[in-house]
Amino acid sequence: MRNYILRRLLILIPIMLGVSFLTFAMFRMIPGDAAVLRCQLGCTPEVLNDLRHEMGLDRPWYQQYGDWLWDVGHGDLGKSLTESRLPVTTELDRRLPITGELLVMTMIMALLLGIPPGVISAIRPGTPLDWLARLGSVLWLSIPSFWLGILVIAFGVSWFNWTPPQFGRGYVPFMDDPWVNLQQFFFPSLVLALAIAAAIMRLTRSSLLEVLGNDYIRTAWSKGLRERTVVMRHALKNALIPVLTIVGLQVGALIGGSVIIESVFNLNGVGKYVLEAILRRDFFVVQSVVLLFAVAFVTANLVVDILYGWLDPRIRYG
Amino acid sequence: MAESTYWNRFWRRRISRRAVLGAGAVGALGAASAAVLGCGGGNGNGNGNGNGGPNGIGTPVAGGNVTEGRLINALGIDPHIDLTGLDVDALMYAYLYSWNRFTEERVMNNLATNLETPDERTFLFTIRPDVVAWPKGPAAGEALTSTDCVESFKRRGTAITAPDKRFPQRIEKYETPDDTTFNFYMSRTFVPAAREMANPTWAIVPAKVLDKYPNLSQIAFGNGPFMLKEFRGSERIVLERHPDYFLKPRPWLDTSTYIVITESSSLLAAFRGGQHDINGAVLTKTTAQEFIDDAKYKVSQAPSLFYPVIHMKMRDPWRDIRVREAMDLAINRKEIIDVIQDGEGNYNGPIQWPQVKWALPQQEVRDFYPHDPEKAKALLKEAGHPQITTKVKYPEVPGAPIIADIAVLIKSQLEKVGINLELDAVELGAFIGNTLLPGNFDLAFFPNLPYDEPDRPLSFYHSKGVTGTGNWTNYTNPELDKLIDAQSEEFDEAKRIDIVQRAQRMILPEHGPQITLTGGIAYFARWAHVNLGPADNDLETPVPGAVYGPAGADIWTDKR
Repeated sequence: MRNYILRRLLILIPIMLGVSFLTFAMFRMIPGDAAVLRCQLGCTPEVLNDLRHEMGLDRPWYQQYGDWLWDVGHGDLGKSLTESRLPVTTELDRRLPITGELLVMTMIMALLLGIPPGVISAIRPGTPLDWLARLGSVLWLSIPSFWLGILVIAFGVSWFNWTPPQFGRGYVPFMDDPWVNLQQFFFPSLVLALAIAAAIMRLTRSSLLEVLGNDYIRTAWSKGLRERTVVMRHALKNALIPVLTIVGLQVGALIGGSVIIESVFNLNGVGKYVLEAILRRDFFVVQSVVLLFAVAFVTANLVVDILYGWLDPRIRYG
Repeated sequence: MAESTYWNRFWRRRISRRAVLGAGAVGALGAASAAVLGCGGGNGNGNGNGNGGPNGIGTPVAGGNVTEGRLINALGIDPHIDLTGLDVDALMYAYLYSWNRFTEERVMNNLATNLETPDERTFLFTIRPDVVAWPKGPAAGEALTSTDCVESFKRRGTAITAPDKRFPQRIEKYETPDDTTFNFYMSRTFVPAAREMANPTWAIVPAKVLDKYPNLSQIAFGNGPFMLKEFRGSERIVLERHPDYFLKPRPWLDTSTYIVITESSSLLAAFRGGQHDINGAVLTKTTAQEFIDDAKYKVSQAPSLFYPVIHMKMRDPWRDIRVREAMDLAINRKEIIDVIQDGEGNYNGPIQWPQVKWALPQQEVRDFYPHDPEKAKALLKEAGHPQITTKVKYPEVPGAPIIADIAVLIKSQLEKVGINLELDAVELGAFIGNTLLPGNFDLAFFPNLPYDEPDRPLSFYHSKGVTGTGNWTNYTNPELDKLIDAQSEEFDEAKRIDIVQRAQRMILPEHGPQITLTGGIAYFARWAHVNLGPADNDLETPVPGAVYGPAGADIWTDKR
């Protein structure tokens, strides 16, 4: 197991290099740069050149990439190219807890809203409960999360004169005020979680239905075991393996979704940060955040791989 | 310069009590966009609309907080360099004087008490001895001096990213005979300088602060009505009262807060939910109507200086004046006003209509722009281009769907005469960098920036263009260049108006390279407990005349 984890961690290095180079290359292909956007319409070519020089954008591409990579290797993610000139690490310090909390809460909600209905749907196929769960999953998969987010805010104001607290006072850390913090994150997490929960529910249902048809489950029934024991102890664990794979892959979708949901719910997390950075052609920010997202994605899938072994002891890591 | 000119009269006028008391509430209304627009209008004694109680100043009450929603991040608050936080800068720094954008007059209600201009290139300021820095920072409690003015002017004029340096580049010499006399001399006359100095980028910052903090992007040590308490430009900005402000007991508020919500529907929802007191987004009449109808809110309106324009590259087919005229004739400006601007607005000539002093008379502009599709078709046929298919590039700006709406409407109008537009929405950064500045377009459509001085709008028709290095449409007209240059050096206002109008009358029959369309009315909503002081105006006919003053000093709130 240890060797396996070490190998996977080592594989991270070429993945990171590939991701960072691809991001760098693609970002260079987008027209416009940070200097142009700071200069705006009245910019003379001389001023533009001076600005590009000051930002280091006039250096050869390999030098820009190499310098950035060298700095990242030394723990320096660079500075924003906008007027703020804030170090990327300073902003990440502020914003990572926000996105982290959003993602964790979303995943918890997605699992809570996805697995139990999936199980109920599988063990009571064809019943109104099954129909309800399947209908719900189709509904949540069909509705774009940003639209749902806007609806939550609009109806919150119209019906209850309520808006998320961050609209009035900004982010409140959990340790400062747990109640306000939970209010800030409940709806964004819920909105983001629904589509993921729907996918999990459908997969749990189909996977469990398949497992429930296996011989060893028939054996369990014939032994006179209770339904709860058969389903929870014998069937669900095996049925969850494909679900776990989906959960790992959904981390990517979750990170992508957070970019939009953070904007709609005014959570100043990493997603909103990178979106604004792309619009401002803020190279260091985009490059560093994409790298961070890639690490998060790969790590989440590594954790999933490790969990396979816990769910199914037959799985061995060579 | 003749003694009787408009400029002399206004430049030497004494400070009126009204002007001193007149809050810059207008400047505080509405995040960065409103700061640029300078919303407001009316002079505090209008007829109101009955939705906000008696319209007037009322008795200010000290204390409390007013929170304003912002649609854009304040990336930095260095007044000489950063543009996204200018509305915040205006509350934290002193300026030589203020500017009323409607009457286009200087309001001597700030650092300078008097300005003498013995000739067109000499500016002699007398400054107050009692404008002091905040009681913290390198210049804590010290009075601003003429040296601070010189250092601030130099910094504003030389920073790489400082906007528009034409004025500072012409300053030849500074003089500081004593602490309260600040003189400078220009090498060439430049009339727009009068407006420039009241621009929020011309803040007077204590020299000691500039020495110690070369970068003021994330910190501030100013001398305006409010002090910086907390700055997180993408989230929250909190300002607190400057206890030694020279207009004591102003400012009335204990704190002034900005909340940044970059999604426009969320910003509006937060305003409705009472999370902030002043809605920072510019509203259309339709979206403002619910607030107009509800006594809990007050709504102000002002003509919008953002003006949509079409730029044409001077090559085939647009090189042919008949094609350009056909395009002008095919555009139904009245329909744009009716459909996009809720029936409110006017036609823009080369200078937009709210600049009443400089714009051509509205009737003249309307008469010049008839909607005549048949004549347009005939002209296109005569020019040998009965059908034109071309791409029009326009910027995609988050939170501004109106740009695409106008583009779609124009497309439908032009295709009726045989000009078929392929709409190409370009992300804003790419639009500026790869479309506009290099002139990489056949047609480009965009909302031009708000200008309240005639020089910049006219520069789009100058051979040197707005950048001074060449017109991105390749348009050249030496006779027009002479007029545009002449107006920037003509201090006699009557003569300058005449030149500006002659230039516009020369531009109109050219039907390009910039086709101007229409300008509408912008609405700004706030909760009724927010009082803007003398500039409090509710819904009034947007007649120019708002009082401008040190921004934010006179805002007060009933809410505790």
